[in-house]
Amino acid sequence: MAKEIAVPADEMAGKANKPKESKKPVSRKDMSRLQWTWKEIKRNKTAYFLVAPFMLIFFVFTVVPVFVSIGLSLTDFNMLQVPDFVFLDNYITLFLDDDLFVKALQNTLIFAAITGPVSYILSFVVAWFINELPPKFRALVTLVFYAPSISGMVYTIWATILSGDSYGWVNGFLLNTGIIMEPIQFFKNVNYCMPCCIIVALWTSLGTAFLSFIAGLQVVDRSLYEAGAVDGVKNRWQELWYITLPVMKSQLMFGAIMAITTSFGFGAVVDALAGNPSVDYCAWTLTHHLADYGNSRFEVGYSSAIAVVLFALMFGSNLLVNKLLSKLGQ
Amino acid sequence: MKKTHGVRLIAMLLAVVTMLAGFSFVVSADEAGQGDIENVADLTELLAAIKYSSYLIKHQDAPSADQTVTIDATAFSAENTTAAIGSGEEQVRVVKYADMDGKGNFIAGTEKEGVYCPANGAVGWQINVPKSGMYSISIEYYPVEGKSSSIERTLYIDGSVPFYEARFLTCTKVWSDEYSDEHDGTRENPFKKDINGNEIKPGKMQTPQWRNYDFIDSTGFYTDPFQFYIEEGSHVLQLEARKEALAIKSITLQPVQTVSSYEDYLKQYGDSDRVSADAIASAQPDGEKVIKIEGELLNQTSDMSIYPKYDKSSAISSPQSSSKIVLNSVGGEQQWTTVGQWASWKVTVPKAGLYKISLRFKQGSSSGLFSSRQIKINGKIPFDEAKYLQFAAGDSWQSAYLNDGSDEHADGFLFYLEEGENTIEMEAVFGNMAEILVRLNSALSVINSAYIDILMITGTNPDKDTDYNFYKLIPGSINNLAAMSDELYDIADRLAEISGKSEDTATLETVARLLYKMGHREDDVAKNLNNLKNNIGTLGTWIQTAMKQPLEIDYLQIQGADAGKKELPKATENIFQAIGFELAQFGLSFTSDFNTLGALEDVPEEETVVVWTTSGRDQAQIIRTLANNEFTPNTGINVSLKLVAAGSLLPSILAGVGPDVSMDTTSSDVINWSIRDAVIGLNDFEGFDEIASEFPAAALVPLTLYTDDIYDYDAQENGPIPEDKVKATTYALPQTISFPMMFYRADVLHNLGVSVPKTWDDIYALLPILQNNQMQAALPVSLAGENMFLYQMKDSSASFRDGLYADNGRRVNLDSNVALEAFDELCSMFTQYRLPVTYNFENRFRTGEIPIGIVDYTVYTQLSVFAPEIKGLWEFVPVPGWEDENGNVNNTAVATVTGIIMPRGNRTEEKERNAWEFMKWFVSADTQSTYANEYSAVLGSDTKANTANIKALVNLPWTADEYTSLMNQLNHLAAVPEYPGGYIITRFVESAFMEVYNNNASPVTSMLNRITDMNKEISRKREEFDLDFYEISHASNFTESAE
Repeated sequence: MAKEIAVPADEMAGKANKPKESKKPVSRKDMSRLQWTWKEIKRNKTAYFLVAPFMLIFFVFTVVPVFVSIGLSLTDFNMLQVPDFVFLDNYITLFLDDDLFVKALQNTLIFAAITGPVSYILSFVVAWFINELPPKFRALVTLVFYAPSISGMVYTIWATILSGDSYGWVNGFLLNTGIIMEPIQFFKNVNYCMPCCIIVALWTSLGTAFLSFIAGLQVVDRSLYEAGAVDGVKNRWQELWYITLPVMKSQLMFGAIMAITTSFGFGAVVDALAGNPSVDYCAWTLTHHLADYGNSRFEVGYSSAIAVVLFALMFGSNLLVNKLLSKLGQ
Repeated sequence: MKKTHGVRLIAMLLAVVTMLAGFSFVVSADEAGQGDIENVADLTELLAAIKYSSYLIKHQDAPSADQTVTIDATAFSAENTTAAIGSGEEQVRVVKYADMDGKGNFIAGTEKEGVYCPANGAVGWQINVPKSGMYSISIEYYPVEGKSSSIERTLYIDGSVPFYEARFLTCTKVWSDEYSDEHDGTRENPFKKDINGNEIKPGKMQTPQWRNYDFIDSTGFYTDPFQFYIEEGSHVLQLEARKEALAIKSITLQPVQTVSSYEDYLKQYGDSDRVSADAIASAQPDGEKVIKIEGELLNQTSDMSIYPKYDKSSAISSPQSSSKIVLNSVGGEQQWTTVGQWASWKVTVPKAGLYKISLRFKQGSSSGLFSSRQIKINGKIPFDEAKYLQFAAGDSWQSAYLNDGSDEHADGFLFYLEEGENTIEMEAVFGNMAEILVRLNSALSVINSAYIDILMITGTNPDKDTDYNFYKLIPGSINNLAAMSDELYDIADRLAEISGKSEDTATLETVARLLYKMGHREDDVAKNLNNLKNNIGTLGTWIQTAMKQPLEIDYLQIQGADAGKKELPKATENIFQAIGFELAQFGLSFTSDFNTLGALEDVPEEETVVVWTTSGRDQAQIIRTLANNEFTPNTGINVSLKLVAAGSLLPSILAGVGPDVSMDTTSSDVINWSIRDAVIGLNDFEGFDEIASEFPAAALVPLTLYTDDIYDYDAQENGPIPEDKVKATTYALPQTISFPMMFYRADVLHNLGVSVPKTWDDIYALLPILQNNQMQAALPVSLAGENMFLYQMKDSSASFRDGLYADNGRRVNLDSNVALEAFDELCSMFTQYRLPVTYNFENRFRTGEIPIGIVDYTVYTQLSVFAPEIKGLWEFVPVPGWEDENGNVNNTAVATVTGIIMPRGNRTEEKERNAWEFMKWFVSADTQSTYANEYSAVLGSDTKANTANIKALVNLPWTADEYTSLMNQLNHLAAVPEYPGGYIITRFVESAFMEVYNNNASPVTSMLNRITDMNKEISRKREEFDLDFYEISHASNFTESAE
């Protein structure tokens, strides 16, 4: 009994999630696994009670839909009538007979490969520089960099800047200086559309990850640097690699996940600027493909299949990044 | 240095050559276009027409008339009448009309005979004038019940319009509120209430009465009646209809009447005529020292847009309630702001004599400026100053005795009221602002035309360093700029005199400063052109604001002649009242049921027809009121209207909790849902064919699903699909319709000397002229453009379903010769003439950069509201077309519609019938007309609802010209049917179009490259719905291998 009382609060929270793995406080030889779990649940009922609202919502609105989506991807469902089970037909069509899917996948990968790492590194570098500034000035600069992503749809300003109208800012400037004779249709021209979207996406990408980096940089214990100096760290790069980065690994992980999700889920920016669909599908991504089948064509089964592929892509890259991050400081 | 001179010389020579080339174009175009210049000819006449101010100067030596001539209007002269004469409904004839009281009943003994003048054509009279002189003209008229707009006439004397303003003589109608049956003249129970006790805005009805109208400026710029110089002898007067019908009893030519000054007015009455506050108190049963008239208890108004409103901004508005909606005021920022609109009240006073009239009012919208009213007591303006009553601007409610803003009369005028019932009529006027506005308006038009002259030389992006040589090319325009600078400074000074120095005078001075620079230094002209453009916009907006005369009246009070400042009504509540009122409102907002707002009966949801709309709150409120007032009483069917967010219908159908009727559905949604069996087909409902005939034939096409029972169809072998095999099911009734029409700036075309294009050949001739003058035209791009050309060019014998599609939707028809030709035509417009692809039409149209464009006809509303500075300078006509050998022009335009549907759901047969009844009622001509009128009343008179019901659409208050153009286009509408997979066409056509535009690709190749992809998607979709489909090359390969 005395042992039970002695369980610290944070351990209790841990048990709430994974009661089976808890250390063995009482002998469990004389009961079955199930009995033991039930006993543990009863013992930690306050914790379960506290976590229940979140778990319920998380389960109903996140876990269930993921499985429903996987299930629906095996059917032919038009939202209005009863779905038919078609097994892997959707996936077969997707991979073998959908040119647009290939284009979407290609665009998504190009986009993810450029904006993901660039925005991630950019976030970190900017955060690192800003961290060196005096505190008051730092707050101001942080705001300036963070503003584009905090203000929601603010990227629509680029619709004005890069407008195809001769009164668009860039076009107006180029026309006035005589560089071009007639306005360039930035978002209606296959050659310009994708690069422009990428630029805009990068501009908005200094988001939550960037903030967490700043926070992470500030929690690094100063004494570690002193210890490092004693142990032979010669320059700022070594300091960064061997001390700063390993210390803020959890923030880096968080940032990476954010970067992956945003770069794969890239779509709203294109919709707002280039229209949906973009000319000749030039900036067509998986999210567009998914939404198109789901909303305009009412083919939810197929759309779910795309979602599953996208999910797998994101999941895979998360694992990859996880691996990479574990190499920090080695 | 020398080199520069040389370059300049060459540039100048080039410029001259270009100019000459431009001239020659103009000349040739002019010759080519002769004969069919109707609208521009009209406009030229208008532009050249003499203004009233010049007319007065011209006749300043003419003697004033000293005799009155009255003629009986029923003795009209048939040979000078162009309107049809006869005994028919819309024909010129002598009819007896009687006045109508506020309840819509004729008043016995008021019948008078007048000549009915219909809404078309002119009616003429012979008149003998005994002596030459300046006469004012007035008529006694009866505003026959008609549409919601005022009556407009053009006056001709001996076959010509004496001056510009005489084209727009406007006399008002008479409207009354429909009070509840319990109304007894007091504030007890005048309005109908809903189940929660909220007062409902009363309906408006026309209650015509015989009235007198002095011919006066309808814009309000001239405050006195017009004076016409008429020579001795026999003359012909003609009144030509512009809008609406009226009956005229008599026409009077009389010497110019002057109204006595206030000083003289007072001299008529002695001190004993002044009624003291105590005298009022002793004569009244409740001993009140004032007689209060609630503003919302209107007697009559000139427009249906002046109606009782509720004000929640003040706790002491009379009456007021924190929990309920109480109608307590009239007027405001939107209603009763246009000059010429009036409202009247009835008041009973105990004895005849002089009284003061006080007012609790709010005038917050035209800040810095005052708002003006003219008052008539029992139909007469009592004294001259009563034409210039002023109401100062302020953020909160104010109170004052009626005064004209001068220090001398600051404590209010005295008005003589008769014992018993009196009518007080207040009319919006410009008052002291009239002169300023006249001058500003003419200055603006001078500046505008100078701007366009400069624009034609420099284009929209003038080069700062180029010497355009304006002084040589357009010396007149540059001088005008300088002159207008002086004029604006002068106006600003005058304005400062009237209303003090303010931001308003600063605005004028800023523009004046700019004009001074541009008018005096040649180098500054090009540099400041963009600045000038913005300033023209600012000036236009400023004039528009200043022209509004907003005033919201809570109540009027008749007070004793001895009443002073202390006796004024309380203007604002104290802080505790205000806080208490706000808190109570906030608290009660939690319990109010906004869904039942306006519901007259509490009926359980199961028995009501649930209707969803995604329109604005105002529109929803109008529909709700209409349903409550007209639909439910007549049919016994209860309606519950709910305002929902767009996109909520599909999820609700999925969840099985959808409405019985849903409005504002796009045609593609209608077909997408109906093909999946989520919408009920309407053809079998009772009365479908009758209601369907009320729309343009094209309107039903996109709302109808066309299928056939033929499988494995081979077009090459079998020819077109036989009509009798095609099954057409209509799934929605058309609600709104929109289609392109051609808008043009008449002043610009007039300057260029070209006529209004009627055919595409005219457009091709016009484009180089426009471009020579640095201007552009606006055409629809991508699929909209392709459709326009395609449906004009397609074989007229082909089925209406064929065009964009072929074989009843089995494939896209864009690879046919005619479609490719159409696409080629469209692309060449953009590639050869480099027409803009992205542009803001309204903006560029108002500045004249795009003086002509084919855009949706609903742009009419935007232009009316948004571009006041070009009012009257533009028109819209049907789209151009191709001329055939017989000279007929096929000016078909492609329409798009939204519809009202009945989603599938669990409901009884009876309820289904009820839902259908509602749908039928809502889109019927009467309902749509009333809806459109209410819509204009609430959202401003220039906004027009784009209803799909033809009768309702043409019933809107269009001018005669607008009406003709609109009818013409309505008779030439086509529409593209919706087929499964149709969304794909929009995408690929845009891609093809942009490829051509961006990369100069061949239109035919670009289009042909995409045909397979489009057809593949169409086939895929058709297969999904078990419709017959074509196997498309590589798609079919896969299908086989997968199986």
